Amino acid sequence: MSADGRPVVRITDVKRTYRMGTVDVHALRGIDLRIERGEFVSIMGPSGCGKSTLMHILGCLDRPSAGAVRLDEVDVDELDDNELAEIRNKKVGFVFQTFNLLPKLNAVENVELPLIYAGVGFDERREKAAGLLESVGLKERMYHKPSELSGGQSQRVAIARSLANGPSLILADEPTGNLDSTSGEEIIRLFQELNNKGITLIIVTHDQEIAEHSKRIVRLKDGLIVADEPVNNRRRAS
Amino acid sequence: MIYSIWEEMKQAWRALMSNKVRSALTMLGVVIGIFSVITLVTIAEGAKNYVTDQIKNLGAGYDSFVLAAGKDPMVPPNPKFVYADIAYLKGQVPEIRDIVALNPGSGRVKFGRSETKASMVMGTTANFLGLMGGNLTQGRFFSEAEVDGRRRVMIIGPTIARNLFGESDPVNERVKLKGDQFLVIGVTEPRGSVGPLDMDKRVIVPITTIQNMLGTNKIFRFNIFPKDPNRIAEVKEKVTVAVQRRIRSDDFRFLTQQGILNIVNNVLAALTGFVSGIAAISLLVGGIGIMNIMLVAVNERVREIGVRKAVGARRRDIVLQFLVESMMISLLGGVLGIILGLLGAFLIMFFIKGTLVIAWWAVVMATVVSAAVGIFFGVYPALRAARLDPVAALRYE
Ligand SMILES: Nc1ncnc2c1ncn2[C@@H]1O[C@H](COP(=O)(O)OP(=O)(O)OP(=O)(O)O)[C@@H](O)[C@H]1O
Ligand SMILES: [Mg+2]
Repeated sequence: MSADGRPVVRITDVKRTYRMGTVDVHALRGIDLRIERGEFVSIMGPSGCGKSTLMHILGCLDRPSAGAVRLDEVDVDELDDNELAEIRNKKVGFVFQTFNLLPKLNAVENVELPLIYAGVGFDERREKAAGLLESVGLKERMYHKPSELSGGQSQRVAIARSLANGPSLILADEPTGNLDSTSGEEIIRLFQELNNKGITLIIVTHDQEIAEHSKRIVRLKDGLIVADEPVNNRRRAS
Repeated sequence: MIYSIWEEMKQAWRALMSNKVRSALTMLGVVIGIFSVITLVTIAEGAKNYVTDQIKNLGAGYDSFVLAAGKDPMVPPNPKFVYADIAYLKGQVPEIRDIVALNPGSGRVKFGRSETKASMVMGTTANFLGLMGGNLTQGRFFSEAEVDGRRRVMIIGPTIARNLFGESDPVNERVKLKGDQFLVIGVTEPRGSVGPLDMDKRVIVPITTIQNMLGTNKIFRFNIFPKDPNRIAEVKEKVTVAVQRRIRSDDFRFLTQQGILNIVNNVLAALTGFVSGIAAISLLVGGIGIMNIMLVAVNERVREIGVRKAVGARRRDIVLQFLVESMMISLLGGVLGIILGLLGAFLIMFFIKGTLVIAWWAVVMATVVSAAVGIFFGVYPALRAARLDPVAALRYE
């Protein structure tokens, strides 16, 4: 995918420092990253290198200690908390390793959550959420609680939720980390399908094989990018 | 905003329902507080009505007042009033339209082999019927001449008539009261009870006759009717002066409708203040309980809050979610308290045979107060929830 001058993500010299009593933990030490529309990027690196920290900053769940973050042509640094919430609601969809579905709500209600905060009325909301569940192959599981779903199914509900408000960017932090290889394969195939439809994706993974399903791999180490290269022999999920 | 409140209410309802026992226990403080206030206010309202009715029935209506012997109602009086005082008072205070004299007593009425239990025997003057209300269903009332002549005539209540005479006509029958023969000349219409007094078991005789029988010429009570019912206070003052001059003491008292109502209102106000204090404490404790449970709920749902924030909930959405939930607990408690309170008042009124008067202002106020308690004590937990950092909340185990 060639640069068209309107990247989905552009961050420059992003640093994130946690203060632990008297010591400073430098989780990110100066990250520059530009991701174009339609890309499918894997972020890899050893544990503790700052992958999740980076994802949280990209997802507007956290702010950098220094540096600039531009999402979809918006300077995130200048936004207040309410505006950040709106970005999380509309522009980014987050997928977690542990799914993070609300246990008391059924599948379709979980998918509806972002729509509620976007102020979408019940009928429209239900229709849209049902459509999204259908698109991830879970139409028959609409009224099931998370406890009645398998890990793979739960993650697909979470992906449907992340898509609810038509975001510009999907962020997935180790989305297959809690899944067996078959379910993981299903999820990665779903991601490839979504990417084929033009959705921009960034996933964090420890699994080289999973990463090879994406189009580009960014490697972090100690809070810095140490490698950033396209995937040459891209795998296709079966 | 309205719409999202509705959404939050549905979610709050589910949260409460998923923890029924805890929710019920949490609302208990509010239930008790609202219950006690509603019960008391409803009973007080009913009591005011009841007392007003009683006073009217006892004769101290809006158009008259009572002059009774004895300063202290708790001490048996030693009356100094006599029959001639009626004329004396009328002469001294020209604003008086008329005066009814009353001497209460009791005795058994005998007819042949039948005998009543002790009935209320009331000695009075001939103007009693016209001024103090009531009608006769049979016969006539006694005349002034019969009072002056100390005639042994009596008017009986309908229950006595039925008990002694069954279906036959009591008028012109002769009965015995305290050993003396009386001629029944009339029957009063049914009126039911006034407090402990059953008006239908009452016997009315000329006041002079009963004085004669008891060997006294004293009178216990006057019901004084001013010409202008709006000038009761003024007439009362003039009567005071006249009576003091006459009996050379202040061993007498007045009863007015307003006076009795004032006493009742004072008692009720004191009681209301007391119960309101208890209710306020119970609402305070209930509110703190709600706050405590909401803090627990926030802690239990840190992850949920993180998820909601991650998918776009703003601070105010989270605040609203928890505020609506705490308000709902409290409001449900309030509504339950109102229902139980009205039920309690209804039962009490049922047993004392009063009528239930629902004080709607109290119902509305209880609803508003209970909602306010929930909101007030929910603010702190809700703000804590809203202030959670999303990343930390999502990491929380
Ligand atoms: N809230 C925090 N307070 C202090 N230090 C933190 C906090 N969050 C993360 N860190 C530190 O920042 C560094 C990066 O953490 P991060 O979670 O981003 O790593 P990661 O690459 O996602 O690791 P993993 O692969 O294990 O998930 C780590 O050293 C971590 O200990
Ligand atoms: Mg991580």
